[in-house]
Amino acid sequence: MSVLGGDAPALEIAGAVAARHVSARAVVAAALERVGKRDASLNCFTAVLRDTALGEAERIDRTIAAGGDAGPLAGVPFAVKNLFDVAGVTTLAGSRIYRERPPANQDAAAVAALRRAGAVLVGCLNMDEYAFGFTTENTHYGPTRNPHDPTRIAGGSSGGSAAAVAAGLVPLSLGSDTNGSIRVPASLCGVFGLKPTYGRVSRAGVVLFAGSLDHVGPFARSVRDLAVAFDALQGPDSADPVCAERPAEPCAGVLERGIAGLRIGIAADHFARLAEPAALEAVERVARALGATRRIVFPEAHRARLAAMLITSSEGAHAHLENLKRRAGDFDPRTRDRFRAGALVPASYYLHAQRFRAWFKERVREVFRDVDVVLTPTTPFPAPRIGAPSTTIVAGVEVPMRSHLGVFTQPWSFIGLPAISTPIADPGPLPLGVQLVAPPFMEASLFRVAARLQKDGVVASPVVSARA
Amino acid sequence: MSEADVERLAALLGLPIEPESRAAVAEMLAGLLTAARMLAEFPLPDDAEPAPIFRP
Repeated sequence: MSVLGGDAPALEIAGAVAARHVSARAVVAAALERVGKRDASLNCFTAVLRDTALGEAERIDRTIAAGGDAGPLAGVPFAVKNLFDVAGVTTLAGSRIYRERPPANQDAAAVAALRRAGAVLVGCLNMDEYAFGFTTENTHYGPTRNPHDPTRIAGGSSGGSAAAVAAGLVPLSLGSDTNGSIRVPASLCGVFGLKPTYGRVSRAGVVLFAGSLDHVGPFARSVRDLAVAFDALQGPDSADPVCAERPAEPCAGVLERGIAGLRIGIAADHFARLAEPAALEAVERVARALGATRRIVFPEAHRARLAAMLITSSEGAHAHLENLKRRAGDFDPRTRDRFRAGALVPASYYLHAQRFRAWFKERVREVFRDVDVVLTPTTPFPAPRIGAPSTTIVAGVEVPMRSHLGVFTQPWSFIGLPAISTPIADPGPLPLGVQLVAPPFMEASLFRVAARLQKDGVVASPVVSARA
Repeated sequence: MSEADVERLAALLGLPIEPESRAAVAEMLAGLLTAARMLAEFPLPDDAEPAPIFRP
């Protein structure tokens, strides 16, 4: 493995750059070359920032040559979902309408944080319009294709972010997650994706979808890379009104700690229904590897998902109401009528959903008194085909093909719990993720379990090379 | 949920919806209202306040 290759982990790149075994410029140039060769077929990127990336890499090389510390991610190429502000670039949020906006005048907090850590931004990534979807079948910018099978979706809404990492175009990316938009594409593309606790990572400079439920977080192909990126991102930020005031709690140092003392359970009931056998078997494999046997029921999880749908539809529609009134024809046909329907939901139903959220949070808190980490499938099935029919049959029941992808992720983002989607090793023809969930601000427990699983070869994210 | 219902509700908001889209919006709104009714069936205690926090 060369640090110039697409399979190089972020931290090996940073180590080699810091030791001057390779220049940041050469690493970034190699990443840009991979993007140039492969993105025409995958359609992950909506902007490639070649000149600024090479300039930034040269600045890092000069810092290191002068004996300076360029940061824990020195020279690591990364890319971000195009709803993060990037100075000098128009923030599209997957839309045609925002194309008319002026370029952002500063980076989103999360982008600035990774840059401060030495990472080099190489471009912006495709997504569902305004983050309203699980598929990245974007009508304006085209679908992002799954590197494991280009006839299939990458998942969404952070589809470009997951596919770019899976294909080895970059070792690190950022996405956002309101109902599963980091974890679903991580599962379908076979990479690690972290949705941190609500308020753990600043959303300043990010186009919000449904502010009550919006989170941002990283994707990577190794647990260590994911942890180091999370450590660079986490912490208070007064520019995001929901960002937690508690200080950062770094996780990279816990990876060798093992899982001794952690009580690990398997989510039952809602989380064991309406999934294909392969998704449930992936959870069982992980449970066996961890010695977990206890089945745990989270009361009313199915209603939590319904409440999340109502909050998302109402808040998302409100955010775009003026444009829905004035220029509905410029919306993606895949989102337009869903936004309109959300705009018509009576306020009482929305408020009931917010009250249910408070109730559900307390019930789940009670359950987590007796368990530290819970396992569930991330998605109920692997990646559907691009343009697939609107419904499918799962366990004998007809379900909506696209919205059902979030059936196991929505109940957790609804109450802001941290979750990592881990890619099961040797899943068969297509990747599948197993979701690890913990109580608020207990990301460290998730990282300890994920590190153990990766070390034991139970989960793995090999890079998907170009097909001949 | 009929197309006429959608037309009336949208008019209250000042949201124009062209006739050819009303059936699709009606179907999606019906789905959301079904979800809302399933949620409303669950009795919440009076002290369950809406979740968002406002810090003055």
